[in-house]
Amino acid sequence: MSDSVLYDLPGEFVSSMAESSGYCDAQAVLPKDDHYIAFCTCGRWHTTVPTRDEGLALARAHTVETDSN
Amino acid sequence: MSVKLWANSGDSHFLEPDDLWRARLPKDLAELVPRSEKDPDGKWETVFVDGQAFRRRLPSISQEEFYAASHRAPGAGNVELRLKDLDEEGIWTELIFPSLGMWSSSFRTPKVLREALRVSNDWAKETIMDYSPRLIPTAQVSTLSIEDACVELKRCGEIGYKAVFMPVNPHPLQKDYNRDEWEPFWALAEDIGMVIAFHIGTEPIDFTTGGAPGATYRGPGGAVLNYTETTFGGQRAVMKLVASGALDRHPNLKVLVSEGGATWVPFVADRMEEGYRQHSMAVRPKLKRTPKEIIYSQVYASFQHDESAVAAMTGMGYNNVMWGSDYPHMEGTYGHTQVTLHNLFDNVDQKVKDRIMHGTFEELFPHAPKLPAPGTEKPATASV
Repeated sequence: MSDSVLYDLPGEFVSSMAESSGYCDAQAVLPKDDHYIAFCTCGRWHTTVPTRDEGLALARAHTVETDSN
Repeated sequence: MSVKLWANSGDSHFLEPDDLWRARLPKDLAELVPRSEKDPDGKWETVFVDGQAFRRRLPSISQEEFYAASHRAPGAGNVELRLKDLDEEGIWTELIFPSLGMWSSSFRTPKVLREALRVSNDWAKETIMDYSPRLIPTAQVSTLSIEDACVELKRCGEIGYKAVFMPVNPHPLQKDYNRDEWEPFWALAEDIGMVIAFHIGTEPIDFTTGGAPGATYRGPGGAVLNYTETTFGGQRAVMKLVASGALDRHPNLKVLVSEGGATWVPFVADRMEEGYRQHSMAVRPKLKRTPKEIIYSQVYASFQHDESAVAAMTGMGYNNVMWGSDYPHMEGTYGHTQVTLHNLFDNVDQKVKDRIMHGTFEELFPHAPKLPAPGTEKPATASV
């Protein structure tokens, strides 16, 4: 159980993202009205999607693309 | 060999089972509580909370080692082993903060949060509070719904809780602590004698603005900057309760800021005193007592290593200084508690030592069992 991210303080979770290498440190997919907004901390990627899963799939595609750059 | 010292801790943590909420909540609510999944590529993980998804790059090996070290103490999530750890370290009674509950600001649905925290409170009573009077867990309440918070606070008082954990900022969708909406909560806490226990580093994660998360630093010095930054939220929470008049209206309400050090208290008191006096034409509400009087009588502060903390009492006249172990976290004293206590207190006046090591804690929690005499190696109630 010691490796669960849920045992981190939220602030530590955020800090660990900021201390990660590169700019695409985290993405969020959030419900808004009848759709979802998705964006990355790099500030260069954001979109609107109908479902959370679709947002996560696009987030993965985004980081695959930026990881390969 | 040094005499074994004993101290109470105003800042400790317990790791609940990570499936606590999922195991105890109805299925429709259990699906919404936080859970994490690693991507198949092993490079990313996603945390799902209440319909939202946050994806981050998995920590590096060095970061993983850091987190593992934070949870290395055998008693981090086991009460029986915990008391053995405490006996070994020389820690007698401790105020225990939750771990999962630190995520409560990420919930969006009041009912899910309300029921999850109710589960946590019942679990902590059964598992921690009822196991030993040396273990004093904090209650948890929603900061998304103040009405829900009041109902749960009252219930927790009735089942034996003496302190309630509060994040240094309320939920992002709720009004701030200086607003009148919180007045019923402060009044109730005073009425039932519940200590308000803020823990530093508990600012809500608010990704909903679409920007970068929180106040963070990158590049050279980032780790120290980010760690130090976590300190300031507790100071701001106190400032809000003082300036808004909440503590003035409720003189028997006690506030603890855990892990944030102690010398900030005289500093903030002086700054608020000056602001209250020099800007008096603009100050609302007027207070019956000065900010410094309020802070020095109602605000308590815990530290673990800070060399300057003793001077807050001896040099600045602030008496509500309390030691805390931060067990089992990396920033805490687990494994070197005796060395820390001796380094801090060996050359300190006995009266000051007694106050900081246990007296301040006993003032907040007078029901806590009295600690063993210095030099006691195996206390009589070592097991329970």
